[in-house]
Amino acid sequence: MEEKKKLLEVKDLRVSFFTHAGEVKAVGGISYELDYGEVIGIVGESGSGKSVEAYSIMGLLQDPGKVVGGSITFEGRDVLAMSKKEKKQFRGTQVSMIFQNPMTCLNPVYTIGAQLMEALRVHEKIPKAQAMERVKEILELVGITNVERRVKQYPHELSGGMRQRVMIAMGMICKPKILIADEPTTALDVTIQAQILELMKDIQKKTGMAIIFITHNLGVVAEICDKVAVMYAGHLVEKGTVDDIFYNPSHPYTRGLLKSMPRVDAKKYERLIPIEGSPVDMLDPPPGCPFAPRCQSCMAVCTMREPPETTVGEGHCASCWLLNQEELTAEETASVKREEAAEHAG
Amino acid sequence: MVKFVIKRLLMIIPTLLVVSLAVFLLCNITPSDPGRIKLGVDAPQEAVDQINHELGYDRPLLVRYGMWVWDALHGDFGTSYYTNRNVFTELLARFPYTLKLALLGLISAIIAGIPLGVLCAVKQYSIADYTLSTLAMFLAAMPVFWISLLLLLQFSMNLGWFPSNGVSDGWRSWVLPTIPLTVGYGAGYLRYTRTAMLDTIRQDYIRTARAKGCGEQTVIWKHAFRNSLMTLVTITGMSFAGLLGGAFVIENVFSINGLGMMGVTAITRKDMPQILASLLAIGTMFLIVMVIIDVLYAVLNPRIRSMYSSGGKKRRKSAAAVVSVDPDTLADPAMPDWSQENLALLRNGGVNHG
Amino acid sequence: MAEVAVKSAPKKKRRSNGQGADIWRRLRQNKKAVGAMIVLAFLLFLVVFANLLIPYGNAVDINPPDRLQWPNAEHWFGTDHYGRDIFARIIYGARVTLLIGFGATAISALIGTAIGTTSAYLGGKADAVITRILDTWMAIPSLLVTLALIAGIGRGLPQTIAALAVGGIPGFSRILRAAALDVVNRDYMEAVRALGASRKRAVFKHVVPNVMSQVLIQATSSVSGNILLGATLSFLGLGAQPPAPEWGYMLAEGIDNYQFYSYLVSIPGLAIAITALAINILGDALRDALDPRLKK
Repeated sequence: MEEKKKLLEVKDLRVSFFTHAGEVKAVGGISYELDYGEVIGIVGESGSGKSVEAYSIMGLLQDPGKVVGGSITFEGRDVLAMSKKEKKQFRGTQVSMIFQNPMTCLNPVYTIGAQLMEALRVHEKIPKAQAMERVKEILELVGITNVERRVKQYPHELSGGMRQRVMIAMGMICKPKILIADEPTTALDVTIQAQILELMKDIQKKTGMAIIFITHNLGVVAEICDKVAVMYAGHLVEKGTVDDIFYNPSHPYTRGLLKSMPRVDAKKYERLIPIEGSPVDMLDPPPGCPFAPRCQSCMAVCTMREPPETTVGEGHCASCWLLNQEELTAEETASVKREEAAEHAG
Repeated sequence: MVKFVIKRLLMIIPTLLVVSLAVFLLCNITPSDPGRIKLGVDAPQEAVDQINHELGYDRPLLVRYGMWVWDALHGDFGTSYYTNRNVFTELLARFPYTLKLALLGLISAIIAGIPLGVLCAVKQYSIADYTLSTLAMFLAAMPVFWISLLLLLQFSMNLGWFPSNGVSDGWRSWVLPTIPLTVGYGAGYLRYTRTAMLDTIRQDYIRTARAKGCGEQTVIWKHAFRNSLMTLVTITGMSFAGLLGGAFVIENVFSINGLGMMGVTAITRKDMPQILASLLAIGTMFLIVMVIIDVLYAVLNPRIRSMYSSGGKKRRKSAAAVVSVDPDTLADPAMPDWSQENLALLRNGGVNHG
Repeated sequence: MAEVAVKSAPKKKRRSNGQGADIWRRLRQNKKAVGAMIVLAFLLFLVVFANLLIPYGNAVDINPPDRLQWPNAEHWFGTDHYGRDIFARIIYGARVTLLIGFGATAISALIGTAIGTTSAYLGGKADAVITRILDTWMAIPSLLVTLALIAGIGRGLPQTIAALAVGGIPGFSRILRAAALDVVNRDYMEAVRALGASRKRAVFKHVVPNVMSQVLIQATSSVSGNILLGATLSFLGLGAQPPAPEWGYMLAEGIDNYQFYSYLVSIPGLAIAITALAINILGDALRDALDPRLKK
């Protein structure tokens, strides 16, 4: 069986935080794949585990967080089994990451130039002058003008958008194969957001690197991504291409997200519909489907068993009992039928 | 930067005037009778009045203050009521001892406390952290004079390893006097460093450094510690007065002829010229250290540095600001937020005043 | 393990039985704090009932036949070179020590609170002037202020307390001023005033409870600082004067004989260290309990 090596393969990843109040299953078994040059959007509300998932790829999980199951494979190598040294080399050169708040992500006591140069020289043993040339090149690439002056400036002398450009430059300087962007635009002004998105799209085209784009904003996803994975309470509820997700959403949560989002192509007086209820208490998640308590099509089975992943179309899957009634037991089928009957009667 | 240093040094002058006035007024809060002190109880009242007149004690307080400052500016601090020696000469002779003791204490406390503090922060909740933090807490509660006495008893009297008084025996005579400061302030440094490091280690830019692929040592020292250093510099400034106090007590325990001995003896005898001179010397020393701290802080903190190098709209600082850069200027979210916790720690941490 | 207890505490649902009970509950979960409180309670017991346990005479009366006895059944902590019982002197010394620690702190807290809140309320020029004075006051190391004051008003127990209290005032007023300004500038103060509440009433009803926690934290550290500094002053002969039994002074007196009678130095020193430690621990615990945000 000859299998082509995937760029990144996440399989049944489980991450837990062991707090004093108990185990928090931040990521409860998610799987997805990423190919060379692909842009995947991971969407979900805050606390859905999307950042935690990204941190585990980078190996940046901090105590008390631990990967408790599953695997992450990068070009055939097991990321979770890497030694400290391998991991150090892995970060920055293979996968790099940019973060949400550019205001606090740069070290306040070093110049922009020094920080970018460090990112480069950690991995490549090249002389300073040469490194500085590369730094200037990359800064120009991310659309920073007046580079000569900028490299000598400190983070506090730069605006938020400018700092995020610097962060992007830092992420790209060693030409990684994957860039993880953890809500890179959330902390920025709307106009700056658009610029940064434009920049990322542009850079992705130029360099062909893959991007994992973590966001809670579906609009951003539509803008930049090829594929989308929707997360809810540590579970991947639906994944597919952008078109699948936007035109054929199969999970009630995805549908809810779309309804709660303003659209340009909306009919005149279409209302935004918020998703009722509040997110799951991660310390004490309900049994069954995590979305069940907020789901308008919730059935008896949903509160008892976790729904399996069901293929809806080519590369489009969702985990919902509505899509998968074959796997129900006879008793469960009966209860579903009863509910449907009751609904019709009502 | 040079301009900034000069400015800061010049600012010592008005501050010193205020300090001298405060000290002078406090010392003279009740009337004193130097004539009587000089001549003894049996002397005739006229002779006493004569001396008081010569010293200006029959004139208003502020006039006397003016006279004192004027003389002091000319290097004349008067003569001791008891020994009749020139106070300024004595001051110059004693000052180096205190300075040496304080510096030795400071440096050894830094060498002992900071690396251990970093260790505790990096290995938070480990056995090493727990043991060292607890130990530091105990040591910080021990009065400096008690530690001094115990050391003197054990290592000088019982074991005879080190001399017990004076500083005539070269480096050996400085070992025991330094240790109480090392222990007391080292414990303090350990606690501040731990808190400051724990705070910086949680910052976003530390995560960035890790994401870049920096090794753990680089992350800790180049990124986290470099940022904690600013807090530590400020704290050094704030605890320096306590350190000087500690040095005074030690001088008295180990019979070192420094400013502390001079000041304490003078206060016991109400020897006003000596009291004023020694207190003013403490004040001066303190203010100079504050300038050094401010300059160091500006060197370490690019934000402050650019504020000064760009010149112009620098905030006017009152005397208090000399003590440290106030937390308002640290508005950058990436800067360590030490104001609350560290101040509290500073107040009841390693600073045991003496 | 105490850490665990404190950490999980804020997660539990808050009951509505008042802030005080909440703080007390959190404090009780901290084992170190409980230990410190027991030590302090014991000390307080000794201070209050000292005269029922041992006559004051044992602590101050010179009794040459009994001089310099090592600790024994009759004299638990031994006797000093005047034949005075050290156990009695430690117990009565606790009175002096706690009086210095709490007395000076209480005075600085009261005056500091008055100055701070008044300054914030007056606002404008008066506030600017007061702030300037306080800043200068703070810039002068309290050691200098204390020594200068003692030089001015002389040595003795009341003088020591006064001198220590003066050094502590600006610390309190600064906290109070900042907090009062914060409260004054909030909208609901306008509403309170519009309802016809007098300014003074508004201060005490709204500002003071708001800063109680900060004041308490500052007070604990001030108490332990004052105890140590007070002991240091008496050790140097600048504080409480004999024959009052004061721990620092006992140490100083012990020096002459301590080569052969080491208990003269170890016992009073231990007393100071334990007291200061207990108060420091309580202060730390109090800070964590009052402001769980600080405990990360």
